[in-house]
Amino acid sequence: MTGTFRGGIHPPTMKQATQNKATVVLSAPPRLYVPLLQHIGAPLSAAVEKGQRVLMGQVIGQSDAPLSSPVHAPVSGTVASVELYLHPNGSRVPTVIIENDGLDEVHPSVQPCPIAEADMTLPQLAELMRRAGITGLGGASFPAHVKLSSAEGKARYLLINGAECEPYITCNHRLMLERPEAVLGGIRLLKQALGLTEALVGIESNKLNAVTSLNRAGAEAMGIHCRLLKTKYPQGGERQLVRALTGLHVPDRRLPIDVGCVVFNVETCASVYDAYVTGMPLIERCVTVSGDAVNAPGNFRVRLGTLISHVAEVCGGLSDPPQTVLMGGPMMGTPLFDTSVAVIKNTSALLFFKQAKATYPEDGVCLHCGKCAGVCPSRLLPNYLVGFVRSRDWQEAEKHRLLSCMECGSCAYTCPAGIPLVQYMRLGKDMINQEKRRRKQG
Amino acid sequence: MNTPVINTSPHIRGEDRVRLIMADVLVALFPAVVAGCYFFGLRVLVLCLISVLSCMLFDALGAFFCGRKFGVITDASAAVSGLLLALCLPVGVPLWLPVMGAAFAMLIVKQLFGGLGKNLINPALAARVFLTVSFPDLMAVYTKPFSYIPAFAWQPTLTDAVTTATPLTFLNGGSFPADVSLMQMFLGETAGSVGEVSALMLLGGGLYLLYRRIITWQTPTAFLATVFLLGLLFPAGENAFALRWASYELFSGGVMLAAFFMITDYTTAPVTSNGRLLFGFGCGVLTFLIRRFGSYPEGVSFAVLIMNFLSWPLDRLTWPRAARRKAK
Repeated sequence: MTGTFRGGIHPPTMKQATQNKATVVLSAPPRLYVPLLQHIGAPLSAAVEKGQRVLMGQVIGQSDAPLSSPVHAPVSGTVASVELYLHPNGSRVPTVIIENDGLDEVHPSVQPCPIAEADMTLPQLAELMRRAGITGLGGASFPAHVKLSSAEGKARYLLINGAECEPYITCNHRLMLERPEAVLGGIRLLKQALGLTEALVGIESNKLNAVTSLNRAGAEAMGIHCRLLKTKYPQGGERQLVRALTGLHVPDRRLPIDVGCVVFNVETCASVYDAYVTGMPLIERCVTVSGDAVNAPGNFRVRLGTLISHVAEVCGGLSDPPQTVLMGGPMMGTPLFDTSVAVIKNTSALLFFKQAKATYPEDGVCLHCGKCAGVCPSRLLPNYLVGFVRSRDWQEAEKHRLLSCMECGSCAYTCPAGIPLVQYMRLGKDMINQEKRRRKQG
Repeated sequence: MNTPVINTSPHIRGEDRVRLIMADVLVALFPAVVAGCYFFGLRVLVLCLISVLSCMLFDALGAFFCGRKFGVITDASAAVSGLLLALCLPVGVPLWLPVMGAAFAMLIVKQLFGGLGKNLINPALAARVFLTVSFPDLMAVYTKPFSYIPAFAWQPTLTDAVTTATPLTFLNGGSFPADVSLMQMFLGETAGSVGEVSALMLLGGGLYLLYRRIITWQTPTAFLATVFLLGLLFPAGENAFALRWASYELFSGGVMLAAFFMITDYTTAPVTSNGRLLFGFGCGVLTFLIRRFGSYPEGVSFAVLIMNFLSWPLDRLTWPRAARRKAK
């Protein structure tokens, strides 16, 4: 039996191009651009100065705020400058630019964790994760130690997200095939810290060999159970995963932990394991490079701070000048207008397309066919919400749960009229939040 | 990098397009048109063409006068309305009648209320009711199957030899239709509107739409089940014939056409699953009440039009609520 949730869509998975390509380690470029904003939360301030020599794994940006995650030098070298530089989100943010000396000299602070696995307490593991700069690698880049700390004493289920429901992306799939011991090691640490005896790994049914791989590495003996999920987008959404694996509903404006669930991505688990075993903080990640403009699509281990133009060049170059470049999957990814931005912690994929895949005609007329309502995993009625947003009726929009939209894009994907529904939802959410802030002040 | 295209997410789109959906509906109606031609002759095709073309013309005209964007074939939705209107007519109507119906459907019902996607009631059914009320003598004359009348006759004179009462007239009078077996009803060999007679062909078209996921199962199922069950529970004839009575109710008049093509119209029906169930149920109950107690033998059009007005209230009533904490 495969777990699932209500609603959702079945876009072509497009994973064939890269799912059988082993992960290749990409050598670090001569110059790295490490933005000091790679997580959700408080901004970081630079811990290094221009001209200073930094070593691999050394903290280069940090903050005292509880909701933040430090960044580390991905190579050893010299700080060329600390300046405002283009971020994948389109704005300019403080960025540490490092001249790579090619030596990969490791910073002395990078040491294996001295605490035995069985003695690891939750605060200790959370501190380890904080210091290693680990954030949710599934896409949101929420500081993982904050999530773990918030679960203390409340977690009944540890759920691991290996669904990878976005089309094209295969880096989690490859990770489960190639480094099952790291994934399981991380899950074991989290499980132990949370005081649970079991963990559930959710994997979509198109990745059967990932289940085999984890089971062969001894998952069951560790109390880690792999569960097949229906191949359907957005199966990897937190709420959808909770629903599919445990049958629990996460109510509106609540978090999974409010129903006793804590969810981590498989790659997050692997980086927890790496940080525990070697002490190396999060300085590189797996990235799927794909799309019809890429000569040699594949999966790559890329140092954070590597420019996208460099990644494209090193892995075979582009066959055509791309019209669309996406960071992340095609459903929720960010479009880039410049390839001289860096790979950051939540860059799961880089997609290059010769031509824009989706166009939204300006004169799309809603027929109220209800297809959007049928696919909405949050059980909203997007067709009416668009009406509220168009008539600027924010109260009505909020009353009808617009804020529960997670912008997964299922509605816009399925809309036969090509109405940019997600855009309307974003606008509505923004306006509701602005209104709220105004009310609070006034 | 080429001139980058910065689009909003999602960056891929599914295959559904409004025009393709409308084309699929036309395809699904094709068997009913063929059946109509078989039973009533090629005049059916002429009626269909006149109705479709005049609907498209009036739709474009209306859009033009209302200052909306239009192309003569902006989308096939006007064509669908036109075809549905033609299928609601008796074969013997004068050729100007569909033109008049099309003008009413497109100009008044559709464009005056905001055009595509904004109309409150189903244009084809509204036009049918408009014609029924305005020209009762023309709309109530039905010919026998296989008594072909000239395809291009502007205003055919219908002799008593070719006209006959429809099964609905009998049912309305509380008796089974004379000389029409249930099988004939199902296949369509009976007097009636050109596209409504063949339950078989309409069912085929409806199943095609379900298979193509153009329509959902809720509305037709609720509607057909309600009509059938009410016929079963309250047959007008002898109780012993309840099953037979219910089957006649199901296969007669506009039930089948409405079930798959009228009450599944996107714009004038609810979008929630429960709303659609209630909508179908309401259409069924009203159809039963009007057929049984009204002076018109056929109640489907009125029933659907009344329910059309309730589709927004039904959506509000059945609005999906936030998921609440619930263990498995």
